[in-house]
Amino acid sequence: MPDPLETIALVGNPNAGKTTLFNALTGAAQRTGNYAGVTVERKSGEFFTPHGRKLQLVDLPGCYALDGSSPDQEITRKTLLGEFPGEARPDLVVCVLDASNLERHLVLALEVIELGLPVVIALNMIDFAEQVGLRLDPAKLAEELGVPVVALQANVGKGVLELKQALRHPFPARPEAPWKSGPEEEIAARRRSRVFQICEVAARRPDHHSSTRSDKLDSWLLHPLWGALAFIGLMLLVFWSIFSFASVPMGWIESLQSLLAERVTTLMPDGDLRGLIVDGIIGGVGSVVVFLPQILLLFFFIGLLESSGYMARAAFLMDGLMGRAGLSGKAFLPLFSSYACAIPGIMATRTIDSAKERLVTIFVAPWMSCSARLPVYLVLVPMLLSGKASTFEQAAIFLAIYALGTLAALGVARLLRGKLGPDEVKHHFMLELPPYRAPQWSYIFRHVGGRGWSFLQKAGTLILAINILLWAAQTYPKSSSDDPAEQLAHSTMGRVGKIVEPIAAPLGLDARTGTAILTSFAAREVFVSSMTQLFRVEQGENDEETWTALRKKLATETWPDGRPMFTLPAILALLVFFIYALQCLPTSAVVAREAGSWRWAAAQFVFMSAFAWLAAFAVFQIGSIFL
Amino acid sequence: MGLATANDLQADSLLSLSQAKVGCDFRIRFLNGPACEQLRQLGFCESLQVRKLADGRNLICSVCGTRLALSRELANQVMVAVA
Amino acid sequence: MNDWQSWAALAAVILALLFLASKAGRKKNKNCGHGCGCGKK
Repeated sequence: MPDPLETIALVGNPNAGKTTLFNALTGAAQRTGNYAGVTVERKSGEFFTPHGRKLQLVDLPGCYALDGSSPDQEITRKTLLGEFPGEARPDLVVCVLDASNLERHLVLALEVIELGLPVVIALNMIDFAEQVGLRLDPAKLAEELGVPVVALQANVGKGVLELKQALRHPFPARPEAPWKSGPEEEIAARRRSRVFQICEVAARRPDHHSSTRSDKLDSWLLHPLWGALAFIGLMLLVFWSIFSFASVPMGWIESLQSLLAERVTTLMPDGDLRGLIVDGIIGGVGSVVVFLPQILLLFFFIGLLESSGYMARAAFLMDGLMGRAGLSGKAFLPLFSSYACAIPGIMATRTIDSAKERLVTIFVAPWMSCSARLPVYLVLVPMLLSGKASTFEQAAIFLAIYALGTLAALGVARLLRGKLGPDEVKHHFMLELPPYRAPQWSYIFRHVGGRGWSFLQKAGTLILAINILLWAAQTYPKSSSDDPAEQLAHSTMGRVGKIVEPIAAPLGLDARTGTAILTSFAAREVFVSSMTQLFRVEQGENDEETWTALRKKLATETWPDGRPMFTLPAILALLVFFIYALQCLPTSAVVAREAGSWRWAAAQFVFMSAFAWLAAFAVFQIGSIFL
Repeated sequence: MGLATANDLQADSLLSLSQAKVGCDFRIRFLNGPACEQLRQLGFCESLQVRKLADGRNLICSVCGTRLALSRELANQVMVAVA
Repeated sequence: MNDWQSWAALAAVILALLFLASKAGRKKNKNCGHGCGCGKK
């Protein structure tokens, strides 16, 4: 029976490039799994030394120290001690350190050495250390620690061969840990002074605080006034870029959509399945997939900002404002992302440390008016300014719409944060401001690709299923009429709309509009097409024409007693309803998953629906008095 | 913390990082408060040199060549002496 | 009106219902113990 493979454990700080090294060593031969009982990922793989020996490599979770209580630290510590159930004790530990941060990273190395296993130090990112002028002496470091030290730059593969050679048989001797002797409680202090000693000898730093290029940039970008202005300017630029660059591919997707619908309509005989495919699937899923360009662009810009180092500055600048809403600077990115689509925004809340703050951010994210609301706004806003409306007035109204959503979100966030109470472990604002550097394109494109793909996956499964069900609600039971408006009124959706009419009336709306609102719970843009159907408006050559026809029709609609239906207060009420209502079941599904409980998603849905109704009610009633 | 009593005598020459003057160099003497571990993990360890770069609701410091931002509350827990 | 189409559409609707029901069931059981703020799957 062949000997079991010897196991090498990989430990290191979270940002030391451990994963890059792991990938460089194992290549495609890696496996992911889970540690028993926890949801932390377990990565293992195999590689060969230059002498042909096969070794198993296990990537332990990144952590700053071994003596903590976080799941990462526990798993790492227990595995190294051989105490983790189901995990064999490794035969050797490779400790990956960031060469430009030895003062902080060496503590972990010392803790690992204390465990009595053979150790090899991988001194990673030496290129960067050299760049910042550090005078590193790997040989001296090896001497001081009593373990082999290999300098490397894992992202280009430099030094990986030397590391493999250091892992040849026999393994290096177990090192001594002289600082261990002494009172137990003071071992941490002894470790730190040992680290200090070692750094003096093996990692000399020139004047630490000399003003670097990054500092000069930061004197502007972190300036209370100029920094804020630069920030706002940058955000507006990103926003504008997303909306303008995305419009071309969005047009392609829409054309593809209508092409597909046409083909299916010609190829299939008339029937339910055709209706399901054309309206439910192509129409429904298509209206969500059409946002893929915006989402990709958003993630691209986020990747760009993060990779260049600016994102940390943005979090710093935003911390003050977010603080007033009971959130931290880290909540800025998820909320900002939600202006394009709340789904990736909510997923981005994973970076927030405080669990309660994270829940609050998830809760209010849908009020950052996402781009799905735009078609509704674009149809309704011109109705507010009948006649000559300057672009300035239109822009002002749009700004007011976004402001309404954002301010309400921050206000509710503050209240909710207060209600949830303080965290058990207090989370403070602390952030490393990395030096500015050129963006890493490979990382960015991988990131964007990953996000885009997971969005498409969600569209292909969850959104598809929801659209099929909503199509069913709009189709069954069937009426014998050929008129689509009649069909809709006869179906489950239409009947619910009729039942719901007493709720719509105080907002100045009737059953038809109520039904259209119900259909928009699949996707908000569906509101426009539903309204077109229900009010029997002829479809034009393109969206613009249809919308103009729709506006004309709505302007002439009256109640049975002759009063005009779509008066200014009614339109305002409808607009306000769309600002505040949570009409995206896919979002609710993501909320349920990220928050870990469907109750949170349900509470959010109920709260936002109630709030939207009350706001619309208030606007209509008060508006009817004054306008 | 056991250290606190011994350092009481030196307390007068010590100040918290939040009280420290911007642009000056200091050496971290000890950490005193509930967030010690978090501070150490971020990079604020005893006997390291720190320069305060900016003040405000959140401070910006330079420690071992790394620029770090931390809240005022956290900075209150870092006791430094003029280097 | 094609009968097979109506049946097929109905089948699709039922499948969708089952799919969503299974997801809802999985969501309730999927509790990693320390809240989903840990950033791990």
